[in-house]
Amino acid sequence: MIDAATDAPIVTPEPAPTPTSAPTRRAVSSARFSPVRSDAVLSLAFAALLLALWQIAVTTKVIDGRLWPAPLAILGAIWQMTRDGELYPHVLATLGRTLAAFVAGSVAGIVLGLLMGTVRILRALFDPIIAALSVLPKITLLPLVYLAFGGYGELPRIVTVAIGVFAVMTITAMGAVRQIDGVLIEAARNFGAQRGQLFWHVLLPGSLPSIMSGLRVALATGLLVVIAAEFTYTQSGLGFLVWSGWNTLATTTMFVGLVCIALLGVLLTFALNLLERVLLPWKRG
Amino acid sequence: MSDTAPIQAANMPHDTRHAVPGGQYSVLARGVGRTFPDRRGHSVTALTGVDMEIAAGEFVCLVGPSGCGKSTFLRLVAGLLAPTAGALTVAPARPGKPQNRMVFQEYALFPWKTAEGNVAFGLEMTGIPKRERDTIARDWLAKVGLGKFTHAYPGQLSGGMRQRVGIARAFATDPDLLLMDEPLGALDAQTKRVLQETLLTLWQGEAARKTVLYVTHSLEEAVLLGDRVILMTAHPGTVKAEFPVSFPRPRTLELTATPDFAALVYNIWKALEGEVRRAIDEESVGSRQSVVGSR
Repeated sequence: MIDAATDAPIVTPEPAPTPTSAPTRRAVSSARFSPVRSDAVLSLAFAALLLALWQIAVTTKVIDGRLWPAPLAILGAIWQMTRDGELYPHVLATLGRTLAAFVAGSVAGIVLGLLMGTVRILRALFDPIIAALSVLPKITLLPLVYLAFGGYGELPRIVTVAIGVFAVMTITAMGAVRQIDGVLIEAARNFGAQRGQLFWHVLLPGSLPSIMSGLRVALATGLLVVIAAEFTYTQSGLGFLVWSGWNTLATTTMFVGLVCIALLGVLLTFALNLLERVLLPWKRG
Repeated sequence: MSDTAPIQAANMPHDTRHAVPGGQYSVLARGVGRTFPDRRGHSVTALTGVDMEIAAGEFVCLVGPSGCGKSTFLRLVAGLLAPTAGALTVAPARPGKPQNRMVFQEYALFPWKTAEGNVAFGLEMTGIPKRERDTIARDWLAKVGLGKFTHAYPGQLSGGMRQRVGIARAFATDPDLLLMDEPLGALDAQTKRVLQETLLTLWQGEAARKTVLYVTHSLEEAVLLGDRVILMTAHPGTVKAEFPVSFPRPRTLELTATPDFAALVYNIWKALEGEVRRAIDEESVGSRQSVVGSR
């Protein structure tokens, strides 16, 4: 979506249309309304239409506004809660947990994954454990981690999320090293690269594109586990906001939480795209 | 093994013009073979009994049907693989210089490095300081006509330009021995001609000509570039015949328009033809067997 938005302005300037010749006119019109841009307009318009229908349905009492608050009511509640300073602590709590777990889990996962991709013995040792971990829904580990930490608290919650991110990144990084074209490794060795040089000049940069896509998947996993872990034993976070909204049938609060989670996801994805542009300059354009 | 008497007797009638003063060989192979384990654990012989001597400064072209182990032999000489039979000696490098560097059919450029970074790669690995290696890299990029593309990534270059970078990368490290594995095999016919000319200019222009072992499918290319064309048999690969190419240097593409050139290419083809047919037959029998086997 972000790519489409930045691509759109690149429209080759066409010479002034000659009204007599039909083919030229067609060329001009297709340049002005590029398919990419008209698709973006269409998607936005359709989303706006759905929201408008929802709003109308509530106003005309076709659906019950107390259970399904209208979009404008949700927007008003967000504004209200922001002004009262009620929203920040929840957003910051979720953001902090996500970032802490994401950074810790992905660094550990990338390091182990790269090692497993390079050293056969490590792959043999860890492969079954990581494979089992990766199919397990990570949230099921939460009670186990509470047990391990001897109670509830911030750390076990973050550790559970980090395990989820770790599993995704280990598998991604391992696959990333192994899919590097063998001829590049031959070339590096033939041109005198020693083990360390091979890693820094070939294996790591060669793995980065896959690792970046893995980070996107890991982010989704991480957000999922964070929100679920916030449903219980905490008074902060967007997950708490949604869960408590449900428990008290304060559905507007519930929707405020949902909208904020979505925005947070978009924001973090955007940050990852930015990171990718910095780390993978050769992939641009 | 080091005795020279059986060498002369061992193989093809050896062209004495290429006998090296003082026995100065760059590559000396005696009965070299290589087997690989296949998926079912059987061993497959890719090369067997290869005898070859390449003089320092000689340009030798290896031709043969697909799958005859030409590339395997190149990798044995490069030291990327070890032979499983025979003795292979490659002359040691001059101090501070690499013994051999390869040019690959698939270019094998690092996509994350610029043209300059790729050409400087070999120099970087051996610890040449950044300023010095960047100067050498830019110099070689200019020599292959890519002076304006130092900061381009391989993904932004055409196939022909990529292989210019690949060739510059090998030359920049100043090795004694250049190993080229079908370097122009992936290029279109016209780009190929331009790069053949580039290769001739670069190699003939060196004060001390490098030894080149050049694998190719193209007989015209082999005759245009080489001092000698060595023909290999189909699977398992071994040396079948060799042809001296005595056209004077410096050569240009003009050579390809002469009757002598065409006649030599045709002679080599007649010697190769049977091997190519045998390789095709074996290939089709092999694929039929594997279809049956998979049922």
